Amino acid sequence: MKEPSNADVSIVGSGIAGTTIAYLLTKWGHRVAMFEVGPMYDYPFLKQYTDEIVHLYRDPRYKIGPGLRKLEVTGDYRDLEPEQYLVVGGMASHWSGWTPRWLPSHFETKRRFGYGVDWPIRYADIEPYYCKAEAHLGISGTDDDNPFAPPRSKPYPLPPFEFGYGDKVLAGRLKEKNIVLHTAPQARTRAPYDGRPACANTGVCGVCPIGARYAPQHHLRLAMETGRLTLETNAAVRRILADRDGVVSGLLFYRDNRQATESSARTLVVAAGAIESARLLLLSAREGGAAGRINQSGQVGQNLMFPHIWPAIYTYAEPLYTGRMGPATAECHQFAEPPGQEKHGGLKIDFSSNLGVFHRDYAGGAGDDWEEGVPSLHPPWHNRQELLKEVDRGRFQREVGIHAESVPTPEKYVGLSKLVDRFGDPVARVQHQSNEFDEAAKQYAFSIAKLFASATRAKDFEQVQEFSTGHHHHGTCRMGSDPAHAVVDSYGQVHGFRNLFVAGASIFASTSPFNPTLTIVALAIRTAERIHASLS
Amino acid sequence: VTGPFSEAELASLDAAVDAVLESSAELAPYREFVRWRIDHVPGYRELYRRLIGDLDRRARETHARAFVGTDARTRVAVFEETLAPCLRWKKDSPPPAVDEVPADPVARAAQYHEFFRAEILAIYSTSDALVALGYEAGIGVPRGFADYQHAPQSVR
Repeated sequence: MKEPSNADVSIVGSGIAGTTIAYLLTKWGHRVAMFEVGPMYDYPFLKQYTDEIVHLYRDPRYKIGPGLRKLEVTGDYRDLEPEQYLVVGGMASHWSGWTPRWLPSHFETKRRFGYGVDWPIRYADIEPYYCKAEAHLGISGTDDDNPFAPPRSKPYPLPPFEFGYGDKVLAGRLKEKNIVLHTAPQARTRAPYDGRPACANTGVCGVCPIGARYAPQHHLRLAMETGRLTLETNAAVRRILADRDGVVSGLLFYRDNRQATESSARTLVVAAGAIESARLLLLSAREGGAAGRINQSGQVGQNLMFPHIWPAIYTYAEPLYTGRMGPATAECHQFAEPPGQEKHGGLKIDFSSNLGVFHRDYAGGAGDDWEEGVPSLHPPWHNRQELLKEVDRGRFQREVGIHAESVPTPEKYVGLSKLVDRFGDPVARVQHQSNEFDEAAKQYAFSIAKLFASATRAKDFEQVQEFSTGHHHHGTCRMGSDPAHAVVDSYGQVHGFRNLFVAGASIFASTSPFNPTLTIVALAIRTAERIHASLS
Repeated sequence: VTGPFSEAELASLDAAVDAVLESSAELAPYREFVRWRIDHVPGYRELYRRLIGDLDRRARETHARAFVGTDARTRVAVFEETLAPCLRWKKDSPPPAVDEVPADPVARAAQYHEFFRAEILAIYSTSDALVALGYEAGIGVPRGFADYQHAPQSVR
């Protein structure tokens, strides 16, 4: 079935990059059609909060249909499939809300330190967009206590969250060793902002019931109120269509994940995460013809990167757990540009507020690896006394996350698998194998974990031996000035196409030890401005 | 088996909830939790009925009265005895699904543990357990910005 679209811009994916672009374009008077493979949650997430926290229940209506989320995963990181949160709002509907700016050096590690890949833009280019992104998300923060913060031209829109009790104690101990623990910028409202209420500190940020922690649904709702946004949920986009060189003409999607439909598109933005965006581009390019040029560089799917986050559990002589499960209030940027950076990159350290004994499945944290219905608990206790003993132990513990950089290699990529989805299309094959740099970064992270344990006077500490990605998948459609080595330019425009863009962390040229979301949004705003200018 | 719970059945179920928490917390949220399960999640109505039936049988055998009619200490003892076989359940193996009806007493107890006791305790762990350990409130209670900046009451 073919249907003409009256939209000026079509967007694949309703995560934080796609919704930022959709919101701005509708605000500026353009019509936008958005396609999302998953279903839509009620927003704010009061129902989800009640289901998951009060009733320990995951409503199957909010899970995408069978045969749509499968991946083939090889190499040394196998936990990827559950990390894809395929719903309206994407991963940012369930995120922790950390929003540090990257440092100037993160955009040029090759030139400065000899590893990674330099971006075609520098910090000075993105700084004004960091200001816009902070205003867009309503970031609470300050640089007053962070001597390592990069330059900024505008203050944070909201004041910071003060240290929690435990963080105050830890900061004091670290200060004695000349280590600075400072407040953490976050997309959580310290005061009412842009129609969102002030954070009430319920401590369940993963499913914030009042909308204080930013979710893309906030701007999606505003965009819909303009009457210029149409949102097609449960719509799997399977091909980008191009009828002549350098011009996209439409897309093929499955309405209600059933009926094949061709929709015309004047400008198309692919913002479906680093794995699915690459897959869509690969599926389209292999059709050949005009669409074949989407992968003229051969770089689509290459350069997959995850930051490697190494957790450690510290046990103290006194209780330092603050009694909430929200994000921590403190982090440390002091080791982001350390001596020896050329060998192992830099680090970010944050203290989590999670109580270690709570299993994520029923703690309602940032985990999205949910089963529908009733999650399996398998708790380590059989009665109230055992439970209290365990929770009491947790009061003396703090979990620290050591975020390390990574670099692209030929052993880190997204390709097409022999396995197929319900439409018969190959699913993504994701290969990730750590290399020497990653091993050096790991050893450096472990040494800093030990240093923090000693400096904060931990009685005991356990170094977790497996990294997590923090659900941060980068690269696969990386930006660059040279069409032979990059998929898109610095605005996310696909080289060789006048109306095809990619948005999200997939266009990152490198990783950073700092969380990516603010940078994703800053780049998305830049892309939106470019599209607006081209449409105008 | 599938009809609505009678008042007497709900009273037995409440007594079972009380036995898990050993009368240590305000029971209303937990009672609401199990009632929600009965109404919304397939399999729970039948599982709860089997559980209160087994509790009642054991109470009559050992104390010559209905489970709901026993005192608080006896209730806890009867409950613990009924679920004790679950400790023999194979580790790392999931218990029978909520809608299965296992004949084996070990499997049956493992199912009661997983789908009744562990769930009640999971709710407790993020709420009343924290209060019991000196925090002002559990997870999910709006607490404003002052409270989390201070040590829990137990160490002030």
